[in-house]
Amino acid sequence: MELRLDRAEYADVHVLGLPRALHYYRFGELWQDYFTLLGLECVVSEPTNKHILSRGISRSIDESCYSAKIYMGHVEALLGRCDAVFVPRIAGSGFRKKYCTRFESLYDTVNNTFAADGVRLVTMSHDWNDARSAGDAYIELGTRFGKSRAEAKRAWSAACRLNTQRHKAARREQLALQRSEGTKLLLAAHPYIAHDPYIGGQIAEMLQNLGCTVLYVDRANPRAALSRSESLTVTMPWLESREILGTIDLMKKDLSGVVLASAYPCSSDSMANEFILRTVKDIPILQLTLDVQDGTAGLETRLESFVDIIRFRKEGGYGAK
Amino acid sequence: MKKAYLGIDIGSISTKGVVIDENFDIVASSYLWTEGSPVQGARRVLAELRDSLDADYRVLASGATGSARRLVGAMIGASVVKNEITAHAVGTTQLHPNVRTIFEIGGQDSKIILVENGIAVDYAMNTLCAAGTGAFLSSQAHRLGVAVEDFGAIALTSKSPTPIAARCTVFAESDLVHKLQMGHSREDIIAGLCAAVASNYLNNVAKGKKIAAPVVFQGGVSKNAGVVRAFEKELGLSVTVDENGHLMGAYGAAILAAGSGEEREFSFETADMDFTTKEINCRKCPNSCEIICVSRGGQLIDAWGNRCEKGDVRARRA
Repeated sequence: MELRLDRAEYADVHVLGLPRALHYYRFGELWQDYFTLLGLECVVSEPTNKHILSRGISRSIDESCYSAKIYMGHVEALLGRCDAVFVPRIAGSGFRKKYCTRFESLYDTVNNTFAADGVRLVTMSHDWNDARSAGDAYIELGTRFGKSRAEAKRAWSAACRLNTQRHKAARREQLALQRSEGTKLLLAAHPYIAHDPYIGGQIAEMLQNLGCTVLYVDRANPRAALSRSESLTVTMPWLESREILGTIDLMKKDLSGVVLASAYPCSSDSMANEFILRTVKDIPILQLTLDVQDGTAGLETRLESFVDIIRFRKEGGYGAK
Repeated sequence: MKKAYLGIDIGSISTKGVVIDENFDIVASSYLWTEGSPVQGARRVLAELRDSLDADYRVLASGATGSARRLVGAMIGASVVKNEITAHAVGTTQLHPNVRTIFEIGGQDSKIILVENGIAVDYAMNTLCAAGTGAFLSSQAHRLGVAVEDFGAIALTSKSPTPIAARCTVFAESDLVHKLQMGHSREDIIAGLCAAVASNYLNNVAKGKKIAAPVVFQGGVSKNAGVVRAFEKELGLSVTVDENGHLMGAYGAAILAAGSGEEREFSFETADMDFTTKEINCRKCPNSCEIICVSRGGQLIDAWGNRCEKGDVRARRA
């Protein structure tokens, strides 16, 4: 797909809004560094809260998934606070490295949903089957803000370096936790589930209150996870599902258990989770489906009993005589 | 004076309470409908227990389980507040030390617990819908004009149960109406419903779990002999129903309380104190959490429901 674009069509955008949802939890810091280095000011919507969620629900169709509904709430939260909102179309980086189709349609969905609000969107497109790399797509986006190719390239390389450093530091930190004693659980989920304080954050907090150490897929080794996943399945098309699968398999000897959390209704997870449950046998896995519901009692019961069972297994008793 | 321990299990439909002695034998028990009010349900159960308990016994610790465990745990000052899966596993393995599989079908929840060497090693719960639980059977009994308590006996008289689609209550209901109109007899349809509950359970909650004997079946639906027989037929194993099966959660909570090491005299009068819950809407951030404040005798004893420390009611008072 070739987008017809006026060069420098975004030259008058000075303040760029970033919705704190979906791909933000994968690329957000990279985006912020890149746009800042390009001389833009970034405004990020606040972490998901009940108000953002309920606005997102009213801006979405029922069948949309929890995370996509949240995204709409974040876009709305940015209205009037920036010159334009950044809504990229990032579909994947290879045949077996795709994202959910929602990411392909994201720009169009937002554009239509907010048509009456007069919101201006900044976008870029990178497809899983693009001949050019994602980096080239970002650099091209930079030139549309009126920067020269060389300037954009410099900013992009610098942002990537910062991002690599950050990932390395996060990996080191997690590796220390992974080697520590205690009940260690992997919160196996898409980054936008695991790191959204309203969803995964809630699960992590409950687990920490139960005295567990929580580990994350994106703070492990995504590249190694991807290559491990190749040996388990040749057909699975989704990058993040592969990262989850590979990480569980690579880390399982260090883990006490896995909490497999999905948003409802997630079509890729409905297949990928089933595959994970059938493939990875020798570790306790708790599957959670999270929906737009408020009550946390059911969630607490499931997490508490899961942790209880892991500990009973280890100790060989109920703690009670 | 003889030592005793109290366990209370407050479910969505029924509230159960037991008092056990030092040897973990049940010395008093009570089973009542929650009727939408866990506080009242717990009060009535405690009153029944007090009246039936031998005056020699002194209750030294208490445990709460079930979906309203936190509320009632705060109310009675429970030393242990535990989820119902753990409580059921503890209670059942005490009475049936060899058990390998526990089936539990209640009013809205169904679960399976796998046990190895007396320890729960795996479990699963129904995830999204209540199809195939007690609530489903009750609504179908109502449609057929039969008391749900009579379902089991009627089902056992059937020679050829009518196949009924039970994956979803909506389909089951339309299937049931259709089969009635086709002229299937009532006992065959009731037996078909019982079989549908069993196969729905085995294909959903128990999916992928290795079911080993001995199997113990609990929860309100276990009182239905038709479902018990359907399970036995499908599994080719005998399924045990304990006459105290409905009390297992409360029993487990009592055992956990006994093992907590915390001993102080429990007074049944606590429940009679002026006990109120108040819902406040925290306005300190856009989450607008609904915080439940629990007070006893005008004194705030616990609060929950806040997602962040801004809504921490106790911290604010201190």
